[in-house]
Amino acid sequence: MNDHSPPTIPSDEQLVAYLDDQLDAEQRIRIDAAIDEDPTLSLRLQWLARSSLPFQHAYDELGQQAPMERLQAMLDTLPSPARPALSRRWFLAAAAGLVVSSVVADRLFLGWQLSQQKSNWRGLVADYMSLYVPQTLEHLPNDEAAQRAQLRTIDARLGLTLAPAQLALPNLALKRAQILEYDGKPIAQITYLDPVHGPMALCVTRSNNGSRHFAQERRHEMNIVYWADLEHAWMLIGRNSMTDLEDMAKVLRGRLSA
Amino acid sequence: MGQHLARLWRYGLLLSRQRHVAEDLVQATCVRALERSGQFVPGTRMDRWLLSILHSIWLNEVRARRVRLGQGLVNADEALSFDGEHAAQTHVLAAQVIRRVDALPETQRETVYLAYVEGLSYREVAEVLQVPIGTVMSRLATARLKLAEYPPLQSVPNPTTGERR
Repeated sequence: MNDHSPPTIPSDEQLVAYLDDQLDAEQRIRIDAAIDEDPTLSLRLQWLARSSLPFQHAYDELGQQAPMERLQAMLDTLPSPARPALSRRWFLAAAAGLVVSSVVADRLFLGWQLSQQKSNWRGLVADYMSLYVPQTLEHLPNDEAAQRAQLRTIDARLGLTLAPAQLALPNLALKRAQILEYDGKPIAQITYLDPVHGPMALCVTRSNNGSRHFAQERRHEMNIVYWADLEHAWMLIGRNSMTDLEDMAKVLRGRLSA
Repeated sequence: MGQHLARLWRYGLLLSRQRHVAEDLVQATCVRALERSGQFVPGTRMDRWLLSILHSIWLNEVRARRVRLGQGLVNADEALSFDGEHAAQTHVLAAQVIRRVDALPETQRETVYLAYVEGLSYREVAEVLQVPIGTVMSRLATARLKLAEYPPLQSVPNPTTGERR
């Protein structure tokens, strides 16, 4: 745009900037003069102007196809930006501390459990969940940023890409997502608190036994719905009715396989 | 931020040419914006700021990862913007415009989009894309030369005459 040699022919870039009204007054005058002198420049300008399409109109129409409900729901799950950065950091640190301490405790427990009995992973999870009461989860802060950080830890260990929006369930509060481990195999435990039935968890571990449709079982007076896809085995465990659990499992499976 | 969701989504779709990627890009952009809300300068345009975040996530994270995984990028032919069920929802003229823009290489596509759809000045486009203003100008000139080669837009799907403007 800073061309200080008057006799030069304007480039396509300058002509386009002229069309786009992005030149200052002096540059405009210079191009006007060049067009007056050289009729081929006027033709060139007309050719370039053929590319002036109703861009805004076209993309406004496309924008109307945006999945606004899903996007808005996603946005609603994110933490408020109004929260001061300091308290946010504090929350994250506190939540991370909670996870670390509970993971240590969980590993100890599971190690002990494994030595007591030889059982499959659902049995281990059920043993563990049987110790949960509503008060186990009540005090946990509902901090979305912290939960996101927790989900990223799970993603890294289990090869998943989990988002809070995928995991949201009506009437249940997502409380915590953490990695447990037994015998070197990671198990992710995503805990919810149901106001009526108490703690519920979605758990997942790696599995290559092939995809499997929903199945049900009962352990420690808790209901379990479990299923598998090509890379992971999943289970939903809680004191909710089997029908409710399976409905939720269907919702989750649909979102998680998308 | 809610008022900008549709605009972020269509920008994500323009870049990725895939609806599900566009949605993920919007989400990642919102998360990043909230994490960095302290960096937003009050009094400046939030839409510009969000567009630049989305662009940077696409370029440095999503796009880079897809290329590294050998998945390649989606060609304009495979673009979902006007396939199947969505084609009927888009007006014939609008679909032609979008198809022509989609056929441009990515750098020209995003420059055209920011300048002519979002109405950003050259300087603003340069800031969002983190390139010199001269690069913006040459991309627009190259893109316009390609777009100029198409026949005029047809308001009916099957052109019968090659009428000139």
